[in-house]
Amino acid sequence: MRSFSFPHAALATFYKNLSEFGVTYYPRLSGQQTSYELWQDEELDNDDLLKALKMVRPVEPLKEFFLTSREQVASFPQLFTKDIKPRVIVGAKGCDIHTLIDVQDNIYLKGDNEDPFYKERREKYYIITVDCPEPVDTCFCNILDGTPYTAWGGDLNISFGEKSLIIDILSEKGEKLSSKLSDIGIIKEVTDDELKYRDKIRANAERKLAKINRDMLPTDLPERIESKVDPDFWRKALANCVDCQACERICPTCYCFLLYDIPAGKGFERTKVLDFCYHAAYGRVGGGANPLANFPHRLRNRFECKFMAFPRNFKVIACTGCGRCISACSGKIDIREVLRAL
Amino acid sequence: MNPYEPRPASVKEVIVETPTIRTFVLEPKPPLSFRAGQFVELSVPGVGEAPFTPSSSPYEQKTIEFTIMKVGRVTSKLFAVRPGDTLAVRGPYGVPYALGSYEDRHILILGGGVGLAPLRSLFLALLHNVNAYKHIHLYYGARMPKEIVYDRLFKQWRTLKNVEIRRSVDVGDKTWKEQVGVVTVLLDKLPFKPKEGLAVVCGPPLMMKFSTQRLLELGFADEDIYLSMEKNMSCGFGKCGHCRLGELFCCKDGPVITWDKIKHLEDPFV
Repeated sequence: MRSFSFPHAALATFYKNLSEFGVTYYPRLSGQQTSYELWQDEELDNDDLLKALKMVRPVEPLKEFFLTSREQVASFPQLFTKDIKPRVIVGAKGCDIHTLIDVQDNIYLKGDNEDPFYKERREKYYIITVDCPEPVDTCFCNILDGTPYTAWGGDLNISFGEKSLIIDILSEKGEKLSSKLSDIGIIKEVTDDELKYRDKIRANAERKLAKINRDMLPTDLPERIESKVDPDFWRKALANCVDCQACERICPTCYCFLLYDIPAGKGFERTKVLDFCYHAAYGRVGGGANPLANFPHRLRNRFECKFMAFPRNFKVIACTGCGRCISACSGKIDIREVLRAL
Repeated sequence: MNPYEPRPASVKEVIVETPTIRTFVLEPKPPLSFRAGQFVELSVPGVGEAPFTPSSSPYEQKTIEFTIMKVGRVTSKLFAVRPGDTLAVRGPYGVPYALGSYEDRHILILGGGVGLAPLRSLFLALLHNVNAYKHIHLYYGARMPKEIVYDRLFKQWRTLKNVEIRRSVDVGDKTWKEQVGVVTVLLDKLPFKPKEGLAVVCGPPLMMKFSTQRLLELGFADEDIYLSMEKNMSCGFGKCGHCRLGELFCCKDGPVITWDKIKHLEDPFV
């Protein structure tokens, strides 16, 4: 793995240079959190950019770039094509890149039929991950085998030196980005002092996470969920749920969608819309039967999908502890407590 | 290849089977070949798409048939199509029956209502190599005589060598000379030992549930009870999530799933 570094003050220049590879998104402060913002070459406070880069995952999950909430996927009778252009996405944390690789790639790129649009985006989009030095109370990657930094999955990774940003090149696409960046005259070799500082920051973040989440999750979650068939358990464990579906809509591992057709000319356009299993009609079939008609069944279904079915099918839990569902919940439900109550 | 993109299929014929069930004979271009047990996503252009298992022989290359009951939005619109209209199909999807492993065994096909439609495709595939199996037992139950699908075909099927046919209706009438009772009454006095055979079941959820219970009582092995577990299969190829049943996806791991793979679930027939 090759690495280089550049001064904190050059972050805006870094973004500007990345934007030559495609439409670029970066984390921008938005109140007490960050969200992905389109880079428009405007004058921005470099300290604000740096502060945003250090904060935990942006509000939107990374998957939103790859699985849009609504997109046309086919037409009839004429053939449908789509022009997908490269993008550069800066700011994915370890929890998010792992949901893309461990969950969405397993669904959308494996099996007999790949999703061609997801695949093309995965091939064309550049992902730049960032260390996560400032975990917050909703974070729990550490109890799901995660760390507040990542050394794989993206194309480049940004970590923090005392006065510099350290860039690790993680892929061939990352090499392509870095070859261009080397022309801008701001980068240099990484020093041992920079790496020592980074190690210290990473260790601090891990310590902080260990304090936030002292207790590990049960190791036999699939079996526990399988045995919890009593609707009353789910009714009680998620008693404050008002069925707003915010937890699912914000979840980086939820992958469900439905297809619907809109009349167009003598044929139709087929649209793929992300769908969520708390929705009452989620399981309904043509004749009206609905195996998930009762809300406690739908509550269980969400947990069964992420913590039972997914690990059995793909050897990985479909949750990386990003904590978005906790932040988004209007009923203040904490998924960690539900899992521990199993 | 775009798996969401269907191909056109012109309607060649519409056969009225019962007041609420019709068979649609389609000619997809290019032809759509499938193996028994697989299903297809069928669209009424501009209305929507739904999964159906073909009811014709997989050895028929040019046309493909679907026998469909009018139950919902898409099927209601489907009943308005006429020969010459164009529908759209994509697939096939799912795991076909492993017919090779059925050789030298008794094969019990147990259908309820319109559930005979996908089983007809299996039946016709078995007939293609009929001497490979010990015997084929086609047992079928409907609510009443006028709701029997393929009544036009049973007379010829009864003449086939190596095939036994039994039928029942829940409620008979003056003309009905065969058995009366729910479909499981047909399983009394089986003419073969369950250990020497396998059963393939398709029908409404309750019929599947009680048929499975009866087959287990009779001594069929869990892995010899094949159940057509068609759920809300929106994409057809294991991506959209809707048809998950425990850790299986009905579309890519089924739609026909043996009892041993789902018996641990609370109630797979809900």
